Amino acid sequence: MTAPSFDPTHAVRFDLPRGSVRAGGEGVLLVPTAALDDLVLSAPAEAIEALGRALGAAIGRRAAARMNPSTAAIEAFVTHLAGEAAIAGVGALSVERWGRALVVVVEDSPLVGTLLSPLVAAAVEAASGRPVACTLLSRDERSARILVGSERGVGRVREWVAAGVPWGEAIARLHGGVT
Amino acid sequence: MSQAEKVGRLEALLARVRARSAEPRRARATESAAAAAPAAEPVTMLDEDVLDAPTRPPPQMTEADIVLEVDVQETSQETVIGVTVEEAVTVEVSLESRERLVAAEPVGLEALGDSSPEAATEIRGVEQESPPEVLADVEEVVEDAPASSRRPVAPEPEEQIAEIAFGAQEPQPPRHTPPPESGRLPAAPVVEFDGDVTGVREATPIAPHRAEELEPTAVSALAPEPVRELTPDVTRARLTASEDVVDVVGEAQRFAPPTFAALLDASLSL
Repeated sequence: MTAPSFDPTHAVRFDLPRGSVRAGGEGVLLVPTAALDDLVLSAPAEAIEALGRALGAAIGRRAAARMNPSTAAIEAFVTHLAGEAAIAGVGALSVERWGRALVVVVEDSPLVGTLLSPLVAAAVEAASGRPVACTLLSRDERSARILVGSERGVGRVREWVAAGVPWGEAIARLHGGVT
Repeated sequence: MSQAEKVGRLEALLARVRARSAEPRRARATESAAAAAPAAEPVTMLDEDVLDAPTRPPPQMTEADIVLEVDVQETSQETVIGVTVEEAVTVEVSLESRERLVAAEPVGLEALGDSSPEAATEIRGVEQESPPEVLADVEEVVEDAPASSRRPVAPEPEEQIAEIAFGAQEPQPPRHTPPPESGRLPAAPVVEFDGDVTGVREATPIAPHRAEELEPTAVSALAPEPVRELTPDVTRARLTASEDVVDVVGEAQRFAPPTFAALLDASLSL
């Protein structure tokens, strides 16, 4: 079994005479991260979530164009999704499996946590074709962990974490003794 | 003087001392009183002036120097102690002996009555006419310095020589010494004992058993041994690697989805 690979050749095209940048057949804009930070600080939560979901949906669509999401293995799915996220400049994306729970880890991301959570949810939805919900488990200077699950399960974990329960214990409680 | 002569002389002294000690004192006192009868005349002149005047001291009589050499040989093998006694005994010291006067029985007037009835009559007269305190003074004066009763001086040195020769009596400490002062006692004098007599000798260092230990042993014998720092003696177990240590009871995680879609479905089912 050969390891899955991501081919980034001509993933981004810069049309200098026209002054445009295109990625995956659609135009993109190079935006300084500081501008996004200012926007996140001043915009309402709904606007931030909408921005995040829009960025993530584009990444997911481009990844889905490279594979069959219904039959793709975990490694292959993660490889294409992480490749498209790297081209967009979101950061290094990987997947952790905590029992039955799916956790997406984004390292070295210039985006804040409140923007990353809707971004990851939209990317997974677009890549897999399944509606998912996400919540931010942890965020430090290097990495951010986002739980991917149902709306109900994610809502319970969000309440536990807000109540002070460590995110690892919250995931354990989510399983309810099922491994 | 040979040793035999010394022994002979000492035996002669001993015989004379024993002969003198066997004589009755009363007879000796009578003889001495009789000898002093001609000198008893001054007793009749007892009055206030005579009692207050100091008694005439006895004449200074010095006996010839007596040199006595005594060689004492102990029963031990090598110890020889030679003692040389050289004394100049004066008669004044012997005459001042108060013990002799006190120990002798007082001579009664009855004993004197036979030899000199006139002197006895005078003494009785003095006793009847004089008050008791005057008589006590007279007795004291007479006891302190009996100038009127001459005594034989020859036996005194002989007795001292006998005491010195046979060790009959040690010299007594001076009387009427002041009482010891209160306070700290003086430290005892340092006395050095001869090891040959006491048998206590200083131990000699033991010779080393091996030649290489000679120098360290000599150094350690001179200098005190330094205090060693304690160090732990570590004993570690020797464990070998083994694959049979692990005993897996069950799989930690049975869930292994083949596709990402199956994983996503499992996460959505929570």
